[in-house]
Amino acid sequence: MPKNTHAATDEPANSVENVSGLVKALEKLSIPAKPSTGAVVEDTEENAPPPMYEFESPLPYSYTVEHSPTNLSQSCLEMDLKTFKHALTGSIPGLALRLSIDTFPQRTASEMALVRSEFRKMNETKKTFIPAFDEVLDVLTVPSAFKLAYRGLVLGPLLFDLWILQNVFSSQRSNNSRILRAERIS
Amino acid sequence: MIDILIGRNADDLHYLDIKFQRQSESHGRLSSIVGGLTSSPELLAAFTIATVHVRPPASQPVDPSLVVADVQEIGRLLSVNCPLQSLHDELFDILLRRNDHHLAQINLYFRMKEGKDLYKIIRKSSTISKVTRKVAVHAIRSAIDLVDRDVALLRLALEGDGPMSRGNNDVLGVRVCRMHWYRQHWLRVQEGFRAVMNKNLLDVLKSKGGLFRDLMVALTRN
Repeated sequence: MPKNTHAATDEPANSVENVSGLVKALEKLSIPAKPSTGAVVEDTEENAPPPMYEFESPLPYSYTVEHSPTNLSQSCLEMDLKTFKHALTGSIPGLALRLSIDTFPQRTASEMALVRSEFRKMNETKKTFIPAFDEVLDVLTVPSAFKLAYRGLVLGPLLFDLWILQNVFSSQRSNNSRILRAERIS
Repeated sequence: MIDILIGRNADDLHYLDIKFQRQSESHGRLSSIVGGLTSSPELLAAFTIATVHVRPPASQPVDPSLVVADVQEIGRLLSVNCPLQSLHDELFDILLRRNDHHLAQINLYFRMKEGKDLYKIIRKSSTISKVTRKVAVHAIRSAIDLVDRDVALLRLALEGDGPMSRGNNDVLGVRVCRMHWYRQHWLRVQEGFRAVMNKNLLDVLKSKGGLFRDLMVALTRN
């Protein structure tokens, strides 16, 4: 069930725009680059029809939650789009991600789907979002547990499950141990 | 992987399969990569059933005669010394191919007959392998009490937590994230955690460190 988000005049103080000075001050810092090892999960099925569910499932873990109506305010949407933009093209991508920790968890699955969709519309000719986002996350020097949960937050329920499946598959083939460890325990 | 593929609504698995086909290079079905997901024969059997054989929809009425037959068959599997291979195949053939209402009825029979839930009987069984037990318990708990199951999953991810152990933060993070999308359920899970553990999940997550703690707290608080 979608929940109310900030009203248009209720923009959080920690918006990306408000910390642009901090971004500039830190822009000489760099993050060491390394190639992404994750499998590609892309959010390109913008016009894909919702699943032909037998009924609108109210149950936990139902993917229909991504098709619920949203009431995300324009200011929140713009703020989230700026966060994505800073995360992908800013000089300090990690900073934008860190600043979003307090705001993204407030979004419903359908609101995050809307943000991804709007971002894709704005950047049609540029590099697709999720692989680029994966690369940003991969090079950040933060714990793997944070990356996993944060990735899930951005991808939403369906794409996150798909991402886990594809990465377990890739990891099995490349003998990468981290996700395999998660598999054994789950 | 068990969280994603076992105990799921048939429609959700179907949608996941469609999305997978659209995105995979070969456009193959989810079932085509099951062999590459695990080397465990029990998990392979479970994931194959979950991705190939669609469970009946939740709206399908429970067939009482099939429930009785399933109860008898499970009772037989638990009491005789079946070869392990046969045991997990036959057990999964029931537990992973019936809808939740049907599984709840089976569990009710065992509770009346044995005085305890079927998943507790399976968990204590020494004739069943650890992986088979894990899959079976997950499937039954998903059908009878999803909140109770998720509280148990969080406790497992936090297990060993303490000054000398970090628990399994990867699994914990994935589970908290997957649960937080379903607000009402998530609140019930937190209530259930408090009832079982006598402490707030939020306080437990606050004991984590750094950015991971901040994210977990934000996902739990909002």
